[in-house]
Amino acid sequence: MGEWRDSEVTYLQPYRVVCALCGQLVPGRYWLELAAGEQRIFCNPDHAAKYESYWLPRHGQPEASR
Amino acid sequence: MTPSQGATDAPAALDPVTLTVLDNYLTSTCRDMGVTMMTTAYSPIFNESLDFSCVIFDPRGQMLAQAEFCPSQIGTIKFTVEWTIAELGLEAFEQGDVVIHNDPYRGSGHVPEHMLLRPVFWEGELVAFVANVAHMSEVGAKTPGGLSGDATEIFQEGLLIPPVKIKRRGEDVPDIWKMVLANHRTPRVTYGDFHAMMASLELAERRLHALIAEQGLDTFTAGGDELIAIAERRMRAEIEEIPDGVYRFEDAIEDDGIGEGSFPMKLELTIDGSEVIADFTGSARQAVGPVNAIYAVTASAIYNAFLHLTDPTIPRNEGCYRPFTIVAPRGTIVNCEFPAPVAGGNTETSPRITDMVFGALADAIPERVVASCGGTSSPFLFGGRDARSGEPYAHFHFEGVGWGGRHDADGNDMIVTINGNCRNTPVEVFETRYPAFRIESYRLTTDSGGPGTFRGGLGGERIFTVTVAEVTVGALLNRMRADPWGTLGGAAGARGGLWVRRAGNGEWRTFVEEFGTASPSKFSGVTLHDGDQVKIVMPGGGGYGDPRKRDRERVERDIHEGFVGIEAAREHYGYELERDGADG
Repeated sequence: MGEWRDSEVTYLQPYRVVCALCGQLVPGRYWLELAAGEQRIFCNPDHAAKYESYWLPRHGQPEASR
Repeated sequence: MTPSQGATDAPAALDPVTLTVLDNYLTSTCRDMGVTMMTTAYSPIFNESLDFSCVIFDPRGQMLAQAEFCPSQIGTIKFTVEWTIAELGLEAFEQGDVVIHNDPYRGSGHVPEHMLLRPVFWEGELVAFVANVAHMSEVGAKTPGGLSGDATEIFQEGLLIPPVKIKRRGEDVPDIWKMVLANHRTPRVTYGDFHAMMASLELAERRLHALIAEQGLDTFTAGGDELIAIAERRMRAEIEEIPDGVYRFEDAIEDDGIGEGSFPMKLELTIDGSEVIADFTGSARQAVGPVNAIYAVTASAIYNAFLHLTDPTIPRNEGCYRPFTIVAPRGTIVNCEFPAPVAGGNTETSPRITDMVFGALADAIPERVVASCGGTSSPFLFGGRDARSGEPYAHFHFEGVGWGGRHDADGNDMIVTINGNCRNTPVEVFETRYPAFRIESYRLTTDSGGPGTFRGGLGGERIFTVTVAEVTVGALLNRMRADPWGTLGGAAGARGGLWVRRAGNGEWRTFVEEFGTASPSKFSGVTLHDGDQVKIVMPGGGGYGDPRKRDRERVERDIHEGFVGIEAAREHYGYELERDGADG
């Protein structure tokens, strides 16, 4: 299970976190969930689910996790 | 078909007639917003090219309606509004506020495209946002006109504006106005165009107030939700008609204005029931030059493709986009990282992506797809100072291209590329507003449409002569080295080109040859002088289907009209061979 988190934005660091599935910069809240052995950031729970159902079967573990 | 058709299996809070009236009212409001901008703006890129879009959102940032203006903006504005609400927070908005925003790394398409957003209140409650996004012709980039074909950082592409209020409670925020106008070469034009945009927002606010006064807030709110749900159901039903499968297509951006080498893009499109996943894994790393697309642009190009492929009567709102997941790895040409330059991502890479969807699905739904269009917005930028008035000027000049052939018709001739839906500037307006050039000729190019059962639309050629002591020009064009591909047996359209002929010299030369630019079609800051000439050749569209199966009457009509030459007719369509056989 994951949870919603709020990304901290400052004047000096306005650019947000990146979704592990789609690659989009996530404005505002993001979804944090354990996926492929690591806590990963997603746009929303649907993208976390697609990371398991689509990304991992298609592309395998991301390099940093191997 | 009405918007509510296809919704009969769901519990309906509102009757179909009310929903249809609501959808048409919201859409026509967006159209009238555009008309306001067209008729009141200062710059031709507004009132001739219509390079803007107008939308209505609910307070959650869900798009309720849009008008049929610029597809690339309509997709990206969903991201721009989402970022604005996330960054400012709903509680920050007050009646009469107007927020301005153009930062691509916060969801804007590219730096010239400025969004103005106005919250709409009813009896003290925030009930909607109205917004427009428009391409400003001058934004203080390294060269006049905003699109620097050889930029290597986004800071060279103009002033970046995060979401800030340019009006607060109905009053100008002078600090913001001063900051923006001090950074644009043509502040008077910027001032006028921003006010055209704000007038458009005020019109939309009045229309929404009238709607809510007549129908009630509950009807407006529930109707918006239901229209979104209907659009989603209808879009999913359309996707379900496409055979499930994984479809692939590759194309490339031919150069980035900085170095040699092309930038491949790989699309793997998964259709799974009513879901679409567009996966760009394996595409090239982001370019040094300005051909990178930000995520919102890539997503918008995918949406654009499917809006072309599906029922045009589906309400154009948030629901249309829900079936799509776009996977665009960070640091690639389809989802670049800060501070990569992005100007051409929205004008050049975007149409390429839309065409790639058609290419991928050609075998699955041949009756719906088209061949490649000419695939460049043909941006030709220039600026200087008008000797008549002493005023600075700058312009983003569009050209059309040939569009791809389709299953039952030839491609359109010389229409601005598929991501833009804009218009070029008429010769008379061009020469009147911008004293720098005289148009010598403007014509369709024979044989530029890709041969096919249905041939590609024709590209064109424009030649203009510099008529002032000096003018600074730039360009950011594509399909100069790579063919606009044909599909399902059709052949490629003709490539484009860009040449210069110096005063007193009879020879057309490329900008590489004459000025040493890195690219023949992407550069900035080149100074031309009185009597110099420029020739822009716009690409044609790709052909659809085997050219030998083209109807003989169509070939003869093309020859008669000068669209296809006799030699090309013989080579591609076997025209004389068939006639000789018939005669013999």
